[in-house]
Amino acid sequence: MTLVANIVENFRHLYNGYRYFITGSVARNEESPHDIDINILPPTDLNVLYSVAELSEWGDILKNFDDVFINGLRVDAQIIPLLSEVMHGYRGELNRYIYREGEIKKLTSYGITNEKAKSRGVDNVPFAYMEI
Amino acid sequence: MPKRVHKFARFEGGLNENSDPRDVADNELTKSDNIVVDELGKLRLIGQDGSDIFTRTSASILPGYGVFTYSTDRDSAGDLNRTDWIAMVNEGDGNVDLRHTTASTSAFVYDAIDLGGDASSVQGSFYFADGILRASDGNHTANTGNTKWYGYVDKSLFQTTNEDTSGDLDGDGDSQAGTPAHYISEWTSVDSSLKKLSELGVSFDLDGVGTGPNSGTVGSSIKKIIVSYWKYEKGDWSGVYQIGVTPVYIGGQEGPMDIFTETINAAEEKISFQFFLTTGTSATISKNASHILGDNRIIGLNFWFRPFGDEDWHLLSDVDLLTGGKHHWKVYNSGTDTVYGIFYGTVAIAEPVKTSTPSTDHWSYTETTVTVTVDNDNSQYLAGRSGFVRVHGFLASPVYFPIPDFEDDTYSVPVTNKGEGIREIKVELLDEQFSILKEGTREYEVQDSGKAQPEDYSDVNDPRS
Repeated sequence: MTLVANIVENFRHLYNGYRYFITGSVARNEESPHDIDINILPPTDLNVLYSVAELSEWGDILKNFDDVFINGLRVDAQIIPLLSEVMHGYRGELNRYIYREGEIKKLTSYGITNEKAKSRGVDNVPFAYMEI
Repeated sequence: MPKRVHKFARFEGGLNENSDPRDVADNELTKSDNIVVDELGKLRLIGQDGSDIFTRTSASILPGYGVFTYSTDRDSAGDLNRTDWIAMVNEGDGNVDLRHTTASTSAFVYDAIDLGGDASSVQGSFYFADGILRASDGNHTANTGNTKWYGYVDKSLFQTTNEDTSGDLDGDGDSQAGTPAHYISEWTSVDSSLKKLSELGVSFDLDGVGTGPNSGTVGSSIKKIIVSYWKYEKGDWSGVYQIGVTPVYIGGQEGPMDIFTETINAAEEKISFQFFLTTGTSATISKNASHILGDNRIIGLNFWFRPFGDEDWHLLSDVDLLTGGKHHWKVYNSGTDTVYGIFYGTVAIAEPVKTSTPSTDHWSYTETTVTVTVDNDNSQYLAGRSGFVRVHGFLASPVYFPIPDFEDDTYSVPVTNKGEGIREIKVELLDEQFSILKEGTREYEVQDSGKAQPEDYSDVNDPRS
């Protein structure tokens, strides 16, 4: 995953306090991942509303991963303010910020795992992550 | 006759005996007997005297140098008591003696800090912040140029249990959280600079023999870091890799890196790492014994890797010397435990349960179960561990199924057959870190049930998982 780390190193110094994690099938060491999931933990206080400036910065960060492929795998980057809670087992309502079609968009889900992955028992194993 | 009134209400500038009296500022004093001015707007009596600094006939102080006062919230015994200190350099031996006063009782700590020489030219220079005294020789002749760090270290290293199990766990009369293998609670004097581990006498060993390090590798002394690694097929590690390690000091400051002499060769492999720190010939370390890495301030290690010849390093793992990971620290006996953590056994996958009636066939796109069998040659090697089985080759793939331990057992994993044809299925046995310990495969034939493929699934892995 050094190639992913290299991408992050290009701009890590521009944005203080952000932490970057490889998650999903790559972190679970699956033999045939279909994409590379990057989850980003922002430094924002979880209890405040996110400002326009913050969302703009988040968009700038996510833009770095837009339409990026590594070894034929698409990079799927999301900013998840509650990511540290997810790492500790939180499976409640979750806001996830993605970059699509030139703008940042908010998705809301329950838990980090989608329904298809749940059907494969992914929800029954710990959330896997590797910090880069 | 008109009068001019000069109002002097501030004296926080302190005593100024140096300037000509005509140059003394309005907030300064030229003489002060038993008065302190450290609080703005107040003149206070100096307060209760401590006992005198008793005669130090063997010590002498170079005029103009080497005396410094500061206060801490721990006393000389390490207990939480407000304590005032006077640091003074003994010109005779170049060491710093500390006179401390707690609740009007004074005493000395002799030779608390060694500034490096016995020369009479030592010129003590001090700085105090965040409870840490830093001392140096301003003359730069008597010592080797290292500023000294003097502060209280209270750390429970190498926790072997959760930290909520508090009490006097090492039986020394002091309570500490958890069950640390090494408890340090003492005033510490070390070089202030953040040294690399090799400068502290630490040696390194990259051990790729496929088992844990044996007694020959571990040796009988402290100050050794061993990285053991195991390689598995089908991974992203390809090439020659270097491993580096940096110490993490109190406050999160990272020291310089040491690079392991040995390298790792890999060809499209996965690699699992384990980190070992030697404790000598005993499983326990007595309280306030020397830190096994040579500096009481070291609370973590960062391991780095890079392809040989690259400039950039990438973080491999950060190792917390206090809590450890989820399972904390374990004592490792190099004489008996070399195969601990290694799965000696097999995992097998059976044909799925037949779904036709009568049960003669495996029907396509039909829910069923498949039995996975774990056969461990010696479960003791993985006692207390848990993991998962991961099953490939069914409609939704791979399927995860948690297992509580690595004992001999069978597990019934719910799956759904793929479409008609000969299908290869596979099971992988994973540990908590998703490392593949073993795998097993087999083929079976799926017959057409007449059902169409469910719309929710293509016949490939879920691409958005």
